[in-house]
Amino acid sequence: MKPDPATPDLESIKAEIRSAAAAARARAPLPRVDPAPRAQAAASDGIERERLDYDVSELTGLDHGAFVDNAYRALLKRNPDEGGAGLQLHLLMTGADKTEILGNLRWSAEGRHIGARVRRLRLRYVLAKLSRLPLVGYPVGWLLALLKLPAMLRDQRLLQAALCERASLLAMAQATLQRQLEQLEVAQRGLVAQAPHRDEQARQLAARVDAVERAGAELRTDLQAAARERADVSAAIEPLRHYVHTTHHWLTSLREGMVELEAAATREQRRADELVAALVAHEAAQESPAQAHRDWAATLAQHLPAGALVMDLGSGDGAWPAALIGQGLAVAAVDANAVLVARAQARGIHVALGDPAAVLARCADASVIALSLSATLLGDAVTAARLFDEARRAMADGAPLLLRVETGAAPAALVNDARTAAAWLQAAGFGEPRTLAAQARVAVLVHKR
Amino acid sequence: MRFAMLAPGLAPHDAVSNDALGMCAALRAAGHEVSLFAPHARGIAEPVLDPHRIEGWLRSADDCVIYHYCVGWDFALALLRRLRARRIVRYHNITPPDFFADWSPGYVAACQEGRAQLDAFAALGCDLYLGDSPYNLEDFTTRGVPAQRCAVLAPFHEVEQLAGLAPDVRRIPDGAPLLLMVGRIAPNKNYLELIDALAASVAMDLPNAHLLLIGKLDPNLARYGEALQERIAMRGMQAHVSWLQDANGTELRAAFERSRMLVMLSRHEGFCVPLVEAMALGTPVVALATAAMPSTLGDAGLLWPEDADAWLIGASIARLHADDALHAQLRARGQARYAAQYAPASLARRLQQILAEHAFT
Repeated sequence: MKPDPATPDLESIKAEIRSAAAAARARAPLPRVDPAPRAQAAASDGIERERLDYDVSELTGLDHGAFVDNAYRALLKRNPDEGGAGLQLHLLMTGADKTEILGNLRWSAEGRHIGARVRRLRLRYVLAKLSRLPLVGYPVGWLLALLKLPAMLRDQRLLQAALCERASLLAMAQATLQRQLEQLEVAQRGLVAQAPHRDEQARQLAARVDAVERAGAELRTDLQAAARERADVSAAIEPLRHYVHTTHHWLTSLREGMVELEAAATREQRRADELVAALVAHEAAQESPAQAHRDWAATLAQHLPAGALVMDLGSGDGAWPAALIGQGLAVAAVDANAVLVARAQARGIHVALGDPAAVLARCADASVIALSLSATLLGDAVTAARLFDEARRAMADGAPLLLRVETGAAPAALVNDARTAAAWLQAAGFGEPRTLAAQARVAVLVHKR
Repeated sequence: MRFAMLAPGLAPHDAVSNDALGMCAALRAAGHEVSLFAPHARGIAEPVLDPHRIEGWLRSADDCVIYHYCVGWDFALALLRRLRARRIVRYHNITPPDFFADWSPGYVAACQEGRAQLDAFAALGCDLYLGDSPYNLEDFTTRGVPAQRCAVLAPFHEVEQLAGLAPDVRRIPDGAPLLLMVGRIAPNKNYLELIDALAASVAMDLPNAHLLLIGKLDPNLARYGEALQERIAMRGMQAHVSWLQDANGTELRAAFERSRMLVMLSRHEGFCVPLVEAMALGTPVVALATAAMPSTLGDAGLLWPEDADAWLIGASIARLHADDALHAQLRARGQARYAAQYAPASLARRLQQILAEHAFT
């Protein structure tokens, strides 16, 4: 069967994982942080794990559960498990000797592994086990009882003395109880005497309880109403949440669309800039503008002091600012076409990349002493009117304005000859226009009135 | 036919208890009369009888005792020796004592005692030795039990109940990726190397990897718990490890759902139920091919030989986290394997088939 190309092949993936592991292994060892030195930790469970020597009397002194717990902790070095403890307690409750329990634990597989020594246990354990054997156990039990007889008699005497002492204590306790009983009887009679008064208090208490129950019922009703309101709010919130999610989704889509549109606009702008730059280069190739620029710049320089600053808007590839600089003028050049600006930079002319109309708008009133405009900035009548208005505002009185009409097939078709340019400038309120022609290129010089 | 289900103890959410209870349900569904016998039981929703009553409860030599062998228990061995009824040893395996040698003499002795009875049970010549996995049965076939008296039946479990719970994520940490390990804190589970693998994955461009440990620590293995904490500190992984000792079902459900993968580096498993839980709940697995794990997991996980080091496991974690196609493939394989082999209906069918093949019906 051919492997499904969409299904990853485990063996090849494993080979890649091995390679990645080998590379990581070669890069560095596993991180290692040296731990802070620790104080000798005390055994938190209280089990003396190092102690392996006991006397049987140490282990038989406790009773029932405490005895079993202690035996496990001493002989097995652990707390008893649930099943094991239950079994040992069961043996105790059915008459087994404590030494038998201890022996069971000490000589279990686990106890043998630990190997605790319990002095005087072995013989007692053997005898306890022997006494449980059929036939043999009976005489062994008798023998043990006989051997224990002196101790048993002593225990019996001790028991008798203890019982007598206990009886005496009980008699004293009984007398005390009798006195307390008499006091209680007196108190009871007093209570009986107060019974009518208590009845009245009970009625008042019952009335209060009724009032509290009524208040409780009202509170329950309020709570139910609140729960219903909460459910209503929850039901209303759900469509609202859905609407918010939908709106968020729509906004996200819109934002993504805007980003795509902006990217497309940037691409289009770039393409347009390249086209215009190509057109400028083509025209320059057809006819070099250098001579025309030198002539125009010389004419403009005649109206300005040496080193005067000319604001040039629509500077193109830097050829025209270069001509102005060649006449000893300073130039603040601006163009919106990134391709042409880059070309100007390449020839050593600084042209700022930006919107020429915006630059002009930021100039203070009557602060521009000479202005040069490219007719390519006059895209339409409204744009042209606004630009000339701004120029008039920003220019000082009598300052010269030179309008260059250089690109015959430029995108700005509003002004493409000297006559139209002169008409627009006059309409905008500038002085008498003077045409500076040079073959296919033309410039119009005016002054602010 | 009567089946006496004998276990050394029964408790809720315990793997052996789940198996015993699941077998009871399957046998009853097939029309058999079944009763549970155990010396200790708590939280079991049906009567559990005293094991000493088992011989009186069985009525004929055709009735059967199923003994769940998971610890050493002299009573069970003696009972199966003298019993005239039919006998099945349901073997869940006993961890080799060597794993506990450095940590707990008590565990060493208990495991030795349990494994010491393997020879005796093998020599009994029971009618059937029913292992959780092929690996488990090796303990009997190597002791001379004929293969025709052996069968494999994966343990019954409570994965379906787990899948039906609403996840409770409140105590489940975040992680990118979140890695999960489920199992009691014991040396055979190889937690120390798991921490090393976590450190390797953090070093391999997974700075936000987080390991969630779900498992209890027996106080008698407190020293191993301390060693685990020391390893976490030594690798500087304190901020990358969370440990839930008391997770309930809803939290376990949430842990499987939120985890990117289960990382099971255990060195000894008689079956490994967490693998089945992971397969059922769609959590891919990275594991070592030790003991029964290859047969349980099959091709539904990234299995590595037992000499795999931390870097190899770390690289597996990084790859499985980054490779969505691989993740989806392992997830799909796991779910298909669960449906085919471990779903309760499949286990019940397999049990009936085994009983029929061995003339228990």
